[in-house]
Amino acid sequence: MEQILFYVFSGLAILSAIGLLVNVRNTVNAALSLVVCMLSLAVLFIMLHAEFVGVLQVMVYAGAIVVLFLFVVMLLNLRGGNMGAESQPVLKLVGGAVAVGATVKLATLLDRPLKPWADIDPEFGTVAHIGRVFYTDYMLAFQVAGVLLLAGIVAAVILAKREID
Amino acid sequence: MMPNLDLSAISPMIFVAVGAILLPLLEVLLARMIERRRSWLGRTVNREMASTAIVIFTVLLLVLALLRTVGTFDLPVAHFNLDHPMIAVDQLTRFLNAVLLISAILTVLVSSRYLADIGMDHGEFYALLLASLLGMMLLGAATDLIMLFLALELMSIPIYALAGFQRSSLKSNESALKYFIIGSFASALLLYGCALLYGATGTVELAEIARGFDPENPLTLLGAALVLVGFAFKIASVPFHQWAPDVYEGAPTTVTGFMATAVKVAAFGALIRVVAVGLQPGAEIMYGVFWWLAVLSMTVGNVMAIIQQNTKRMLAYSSVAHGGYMLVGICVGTQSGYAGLLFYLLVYTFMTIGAFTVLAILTRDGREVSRIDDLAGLHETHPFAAIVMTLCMFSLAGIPPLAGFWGKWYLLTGAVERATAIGDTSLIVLAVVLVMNSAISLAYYLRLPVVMYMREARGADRPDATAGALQTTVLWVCALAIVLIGVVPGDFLILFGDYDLIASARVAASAVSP
Amino acid sequence: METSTVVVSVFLFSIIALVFMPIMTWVERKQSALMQDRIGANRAEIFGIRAIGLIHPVTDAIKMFTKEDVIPTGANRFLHAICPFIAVVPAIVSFAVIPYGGSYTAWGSSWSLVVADLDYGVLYIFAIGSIAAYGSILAGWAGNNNWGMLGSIRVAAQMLSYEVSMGISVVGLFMIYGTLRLTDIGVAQQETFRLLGFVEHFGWATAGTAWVDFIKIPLWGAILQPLPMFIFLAAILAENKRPPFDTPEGESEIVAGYFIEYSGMKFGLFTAGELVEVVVISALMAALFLGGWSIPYLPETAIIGGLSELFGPNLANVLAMIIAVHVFFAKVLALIFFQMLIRWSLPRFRYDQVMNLGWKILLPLSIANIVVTGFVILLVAEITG
Repeated sequence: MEQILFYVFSGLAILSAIGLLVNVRNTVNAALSLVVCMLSLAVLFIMLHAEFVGVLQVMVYAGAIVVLFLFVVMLLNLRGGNMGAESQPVLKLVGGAVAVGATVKLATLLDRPLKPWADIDPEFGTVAHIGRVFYTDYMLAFQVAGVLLLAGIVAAVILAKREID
Repeated sequence: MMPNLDLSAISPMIFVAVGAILLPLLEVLLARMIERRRSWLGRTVNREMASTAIVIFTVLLLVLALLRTVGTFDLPVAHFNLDHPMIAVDQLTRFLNAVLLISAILTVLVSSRYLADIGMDHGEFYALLLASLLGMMLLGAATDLIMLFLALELMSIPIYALAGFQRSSLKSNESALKYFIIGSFASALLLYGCALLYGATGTVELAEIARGFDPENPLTLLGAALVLVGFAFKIASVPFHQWAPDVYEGAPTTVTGFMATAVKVAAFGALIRVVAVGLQPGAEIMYGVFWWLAVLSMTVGNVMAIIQQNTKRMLAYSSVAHGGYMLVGICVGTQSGYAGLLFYLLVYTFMTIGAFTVLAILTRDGREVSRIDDLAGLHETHPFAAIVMTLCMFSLAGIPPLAGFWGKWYLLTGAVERATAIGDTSLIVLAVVLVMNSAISLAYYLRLPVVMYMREARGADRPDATAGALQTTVLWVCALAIVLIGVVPGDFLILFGDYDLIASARVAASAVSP
Repeated sequence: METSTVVVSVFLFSIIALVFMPIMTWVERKQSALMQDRIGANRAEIFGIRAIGLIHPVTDAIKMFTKEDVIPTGANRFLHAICPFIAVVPAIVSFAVIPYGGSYTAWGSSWSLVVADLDYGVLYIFAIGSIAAYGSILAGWAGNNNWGMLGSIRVAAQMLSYEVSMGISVVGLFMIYGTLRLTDIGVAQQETFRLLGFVEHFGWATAGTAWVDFIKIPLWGAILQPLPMFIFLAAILAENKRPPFDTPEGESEIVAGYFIEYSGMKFGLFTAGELVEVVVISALMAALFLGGWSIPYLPETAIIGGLSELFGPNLANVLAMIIAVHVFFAKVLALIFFQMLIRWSLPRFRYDQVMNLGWKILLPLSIANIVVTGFVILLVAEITG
């Protein structure tokens, strides 16, 4: 059962990622491919006992970031067709070949036994566990991320505020 | 349950973080007071008073942080979180922090007047600057890939915004957008590299990565390569340098100065730690990569700089070339190599900030002196600026006895020492390339003094320059530093004489037992 | 999980989803009639049986299913077809984590009145709810209609804005109960708190003094976090795009907003999704803030204990389970009625007012609430040791 789910959703993730590339000129379709990709990844996360990460993946990426993306697409009324540079077939071919090669190589490299489930702490991936690790071991990283977000907000405000002074 | 924290270890960073958090609030408060015509000490608050207050607050915090950093320089390695150290405060970190703080203080001092000149006098500038500075300070201290990436982002994101701070200028917008896109791309590569390293070694701590590093494993190598590419983008080394001229040209001049110095300092600091600790087992493979990066950066940077007509673009290519010189220190990879590199970073900071300060004070009403030829006759309108510019150019070119010469000298001696020690001719070749490139660079560094002193200004276009008191101070500081370090270079190099940087970095990176 | 548990849960689950959906349309009609002093829909009849208008949902369904399904020219056929489903399915599956009662053991098998007792229960609802946004956003875009597009933009902005306050406003609750699992939150709300406990701490009264013990408050979310309750309610109403937050529909400005190009049952699904969401909101509010299935001052253990003496433990458990479900749905119904009251009382906000309320009032208040709550939690921990 788990195997079937894994193959279905990893296949879906890959297909939708490819769909994202193919649809690069049709922004809404590309965004939707991205959503499908994110949701499939979320399922994979949940199957890896990283439920919290999986749910956040849905909430933040699928639920907020791509919505924002669609919002911009609609606000600017990008119906596709008029964006992107002229295609460069040689670059595309080379890029595609490198990507496929790297993927195959990576896949063969990563083919090794995984840690059995029994070895994993039953608390692993729970909200409580993540919260505890966040506020102890990764305290500094957590705080720095806070400053990073603040800086991002200040940067966005200063660059986008309509009238200044 | 409670984490075992040592706040005093990171007190300079806390000063900077406090500034980054409080400054936007202060700005809002002051803007509100101006709007409502509130008075303070019997005077109605105006924009000038507000910016003075903000600059004083910022500089005060930075000076406190600098004093604290310098004052604790000799202490042993300290960690913030003793149970799970993500950063190490060792001599390397403290030295980098000091240089970064100096760069930031000088930038702030120049900026207050420059921002008023370009009509963008907002406190958010300093908030973003401090946030970026915090990222840089953490980047040099990071011993953990997670921290490394977070710090890199914290360094970069405010800088993207600062590059586009002059909102009315199309070039500034272009600069910000280019830097943002290329920078995000570089961050993504670095992050992918980190992920692969984690996949290959099962850990994110640099010391542990070194333990699990298998030079035979393509996964590890690919991870290491992507991390290095990420860094190469940040230090603008050839062939990952194309963004630099456009970004340097478009960004507000003081930001360019900060970008050219502080980003390089932080990125090289982190690179030293990554290369000397985490990726140490792969040193031989990486040597070839760095060798080519160094040779290409020096040569391409210098040759391209010769044909530039725009001062900022010229300095951008010069910065690429200097990145190449510094990579020689990474190639050497010994105590003396790293010490030489760190010394070079200190010197380079003063030279570059000095040069950009002169450009900044020539700005009037948002119009910049962009072309090199526009500097003609500067020695009449503003002789002091011309002198400082000349000093900076001579020093950048490496003319003795100025500081820049000694920077190159230590890099050279480090390379030659290492080459004779292991009998490696490729390092000698590198040293020769460095010397040849210094000669090439004279071609464009000397052009500025020639234009400033020997060519007549063309009528109304003569550069009008009235520097503010703070800006003059910065010019004095840079000029004195260049001369002083040039006279007594040993005193500054000796800072590291007693500390085995590599060993220190390694000790700092390995986990502390709770 | 045992089979019996699953059967009970899924049974309840399907009842809610399938029964509530049509009945809600009736509730909405009758309630509005009540408020406006009318009689309301009562004309539809089958063999003369009018059943106070309860036949109307049936006729509605027949009408919807038999209407022509118009797909406008230039529409994206695929998206146009799936959007109603994206809008309605998340609302239905949200019920999966809402507990209708606690856990009960009778005749050797244990019953837990929740379909999926997830560790990240509340987040699951938020995540699923954020997916629902796509149904509305893409619906307006797919129809190739400018009003629809305007509706879509408004939906995107509104749902994104209020998701933030919605999530942050309940963090205070999570801090107090120390969990995101809705069943645990429900159990925690059974307890009471001695409000005057600090008197003993400071030595003003000896331990066990009667008047100290007398004043107890139930640990309900509504009592501990009254302000976040209203923030959460406002935010979640906005998420559901119901009046007064129905600018994306905005009949008077943009005709029908994002579902302007829908007819027949596809249109019906949008309405159904909205109405099911009303039930979800009520259930979630009841579970988080109104004590779930608990009765104030009467913890479930006491109920089961008392009933056990009369009927024995097995029957007592079953009875307690029935009581719990009834208590829970009583709260849900009250909240549905309250939402209808809001719907017919308040005028629609202007679009910029919606944004201002979300970003400038609700968000700062909910962040401030986290800080204050943290402070109070530390204070209480300090006092009670």
